[in-house]
Amino acid sequence: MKKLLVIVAITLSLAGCQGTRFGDFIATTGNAITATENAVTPQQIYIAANAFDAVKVSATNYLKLKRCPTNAPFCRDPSVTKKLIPLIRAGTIARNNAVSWARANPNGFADVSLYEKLTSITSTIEAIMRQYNIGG
Amino acid sequence: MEGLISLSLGLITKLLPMIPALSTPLVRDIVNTVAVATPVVISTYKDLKPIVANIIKSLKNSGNITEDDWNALIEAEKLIDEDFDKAAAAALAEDKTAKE
Repeated sequence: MKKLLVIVAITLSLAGCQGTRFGDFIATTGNAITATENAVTPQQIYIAANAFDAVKVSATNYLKLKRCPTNAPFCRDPSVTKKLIPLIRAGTIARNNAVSWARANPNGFADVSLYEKLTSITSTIEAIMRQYNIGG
Repeated sequence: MEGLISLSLGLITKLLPMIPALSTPLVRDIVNTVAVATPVVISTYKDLKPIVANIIKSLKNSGNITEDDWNALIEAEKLIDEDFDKAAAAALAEDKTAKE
């Protein structure tokens, strides 16, 4: 945000240079930084997809445990199972949409909503896993 | 390595009753818990290692995700998705049976 304000300030102070190569460069840089505030890069999507995969792997290992109550020291709570499965399914769709976009646009900026959908589902799953001490 | 750990834990579990000082229920419970937890921890560590490696690599490459990186990710995700689908189906089936 600070960076954006600095660029906006520079752009305004150089408004008189508009039409010159330097003025155009500043304006373009300002626009590019504004775009990164509202959009994400393929690298950010790649990292978000991997982060989602990490929680999916941990959740899968949890689902493989025997249902509680059991004599085993670790077990799977059916109420947690009910919460995790639909979230993981929704996250998988969000991940696939984001990855498809990033692959099709290797040099572009994705709409931030694609990224936010994926990261917010990942955070919700992480919160559930923390709450129930499901780790990976 | 994980085979060696499991073997050692199995051996400890078997030897435990022969050592009176260590045969208290508390020690038995601890050893049994560790014995059950170890394969889960090892499996999770092995599953998560390539994912963490991917993230570190992409951060090191300062934004350059290659076609090979995407292909490797998608191949890995096919296995992750299949594994989840099987585990979810089994868990739901187990829960359904338990309710009936």
